[in-house]
Amino acid sequence: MIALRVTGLMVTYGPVVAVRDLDLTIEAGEALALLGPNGAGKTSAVEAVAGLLPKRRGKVEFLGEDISALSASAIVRRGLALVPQWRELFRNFTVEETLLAATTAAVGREPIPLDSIYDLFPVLQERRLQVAGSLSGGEQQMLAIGRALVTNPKLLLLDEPSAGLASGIARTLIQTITRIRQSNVAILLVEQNMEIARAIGERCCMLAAGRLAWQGSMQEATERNEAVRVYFGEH
Amino acid sequence: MSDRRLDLAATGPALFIILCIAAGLGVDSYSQYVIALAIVAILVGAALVVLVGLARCITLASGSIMALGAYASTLAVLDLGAPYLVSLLLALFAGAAAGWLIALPGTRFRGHNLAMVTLVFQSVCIILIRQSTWLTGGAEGIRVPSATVFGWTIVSDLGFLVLIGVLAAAMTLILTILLRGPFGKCLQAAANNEIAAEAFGVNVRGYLTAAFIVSSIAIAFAGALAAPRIRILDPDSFGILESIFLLAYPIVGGMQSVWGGLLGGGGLRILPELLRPVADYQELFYATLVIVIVMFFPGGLTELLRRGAALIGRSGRGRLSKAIAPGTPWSGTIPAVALPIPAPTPERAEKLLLVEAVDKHFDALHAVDAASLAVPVGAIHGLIGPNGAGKTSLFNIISGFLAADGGRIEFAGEPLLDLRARDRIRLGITRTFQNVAVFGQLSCLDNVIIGRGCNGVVEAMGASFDRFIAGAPTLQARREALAALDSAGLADQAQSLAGALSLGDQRRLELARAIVSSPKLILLDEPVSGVSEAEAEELRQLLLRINAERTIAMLVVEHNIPFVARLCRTLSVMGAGRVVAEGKPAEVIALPTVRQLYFGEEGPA
Repeated sequence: MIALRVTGLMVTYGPVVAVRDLDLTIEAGEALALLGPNGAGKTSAVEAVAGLLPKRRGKVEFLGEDISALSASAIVRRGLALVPQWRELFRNFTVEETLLAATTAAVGREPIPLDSIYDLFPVLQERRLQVAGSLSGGEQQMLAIGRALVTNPKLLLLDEPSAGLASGIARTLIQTITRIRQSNVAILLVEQNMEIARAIGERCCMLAAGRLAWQGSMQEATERNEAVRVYFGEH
Repeated sequence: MSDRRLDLAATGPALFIILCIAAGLGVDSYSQYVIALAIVAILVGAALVVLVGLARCITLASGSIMALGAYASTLAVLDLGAPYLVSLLLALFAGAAAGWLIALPGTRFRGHNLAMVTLVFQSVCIILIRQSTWLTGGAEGIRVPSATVFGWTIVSDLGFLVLIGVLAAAMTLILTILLRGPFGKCLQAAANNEIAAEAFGVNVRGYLTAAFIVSSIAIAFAGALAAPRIRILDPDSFGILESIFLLAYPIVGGMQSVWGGLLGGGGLRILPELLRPVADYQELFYATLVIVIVMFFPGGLTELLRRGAALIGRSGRGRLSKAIAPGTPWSGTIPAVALPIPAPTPERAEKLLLVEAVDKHFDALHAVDAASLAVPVGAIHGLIGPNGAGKTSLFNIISGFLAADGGRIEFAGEPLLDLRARDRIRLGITRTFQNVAVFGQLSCLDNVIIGRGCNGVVEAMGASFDRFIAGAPTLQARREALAALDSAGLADQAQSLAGALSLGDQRRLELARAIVSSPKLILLDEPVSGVSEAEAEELRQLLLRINAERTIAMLVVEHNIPFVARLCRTLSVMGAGRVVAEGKPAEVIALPTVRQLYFGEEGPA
């Protein structure tokens, strides 16, 4: 079963073309890493898939349904949740309020119990009555992931979860995402940190200047040093 | 249309007012009265086009400024015994003072904050007028004496029509000249993109202040013109509702030219006369009109007329003017291969830009950490690094849009850090922008003319009048701008609106604007972000050619490393605020430290 199929996606900001002719697919339960240098269009692609950016052209299918024209809220209700870059939390909501608010997006399926989220992130239970704005960067990232998970998604879009966090965070993130994958959630991971990308991604797509520059298995990418070629333009 | 005829087209709105006077000669006195007040409204509309249309500053204080003008001139006649024409001068001063006062806080705000500032001014003014009973007669008002001009006391409506019409036409002419000349262009640029305007020497706050003052002078003048015909001044006729009504003038008429103010002001003032049979529904009709215009014709009545004219023109004799048609893709000639370029060796070359130990903190984040780099004369130097490395902060410090906490920057031997961004162009530094920042409502030619950097407020006002009177002084600027457009391959787009160009052409236009002042250094902020590979290659050829032909050095911040490596002769790599590597592109990219920066903890995939 194919979880996500993107065909011919084009995203523009006025005259600026951020993503051109992007095709990609994610199988149910699969983890795909979307890599590429800054400005390659990764975040634009992911936000367009989630319905947060208008699509100039192209089609997005989720679990066989065409969601190209749906609003972001309709998309998340169908089970496609985004953890945005820089987290975008509701700063005045407590941890628990944030999670509870997100459960309303689980329509037609059971939300994940808050206890399971606290089980995954024990520190969130400790901070449960604290407002999101007062959490540390790492805790905020956990809350952002928890907020997406509580909607019981079939596909989780993670946009640079390591961005702006202390360097030790990589190992924790790898553990967390690995545990999430055990519940058969498909993952699209945008990441600059290769350590995380390689630990999580089974397949990888590389973008450069808005286009798909390479795709294949993570192992092959590592062996052929594809990232260096895409980033630095060597052959 | 020839340039000279374009310059003289500035007389159009004033001539239209004169026509209105002529039309009023043969009608009854009530109609003359209506026409006279419509002409006052036209003047207010034209004044609001300057402020609301070009400067994009909302104002709810126009009613009070009209009141200030009216009271100032009336009190000058009553209490000081001044002749009417002299009292008008006082109204001008009152308007200027009011504009300046509003601009003091007003130029710091936009949108609803600015609306609040002007609303406060409006309310305070009206309250003061009402409370100063000893001077203004308070809420009961004050009788305005008849106007006497050169011994001729005006009592008839025909007299008022001629007096108001002639003086309003003169003021409208001044406004039109300012609006169509360099002053109007720079004002549009300032409102369009503050940072780009400042980068090319446009003092944004200065221009906005000037817009407040100019429009307030004209509005106060309009108030003083209307006063003798209104006969009784009372503060309540200049209340907030009147201000809102006045604000509708440019919105309904169109914000981009004096014609908009003319159609909006004149039209809305005459409308009640036409609606007399259905007077009870007048407000309803107004509201519907405003909503329909805002929703379907954001350009106002002028847009409506232009579309109508275009329709008629198309069925008649084809397209009116090819010059203002939106840009066609560029298809000029550039050499297929870059010219051989004498690469100056960094050791021997004279240093143009010298950045030494520059520091910048954002709270706990050490964004730029003792960064140093040097750009020799005529060099092309790249600055790369992963997200959050501090490139943009360092770039903004060099271009003057961010203050450094420490360190030193020298440009051609002069210290740079204390210089405002808009003054750096005079030393010979210009820039381009990551998110293209052309002035979309101006033609390509006007964009490049602003790029020359000679954009002082007073000079621009003077130049606007010079251009109207003589036409000649801007010729030199035009020639230089056309040459720069030609260098960038945009010669055939000179009259196209910048906003209508493709992204690739907008990037070329930014380059033309950056080179027209013959700078020594261009700062290029992600010059190929968002353009296709083919366009990127064309831009690279263009940059190399500009560098070779004009000996302009370049400092390039760019994420597309393959592009930077082909363009630049030397690179600096930043990571976590520090410059961690420097040298030739191929060597720098091969360094393990650089790869680690880009790919995280361990080695590359």
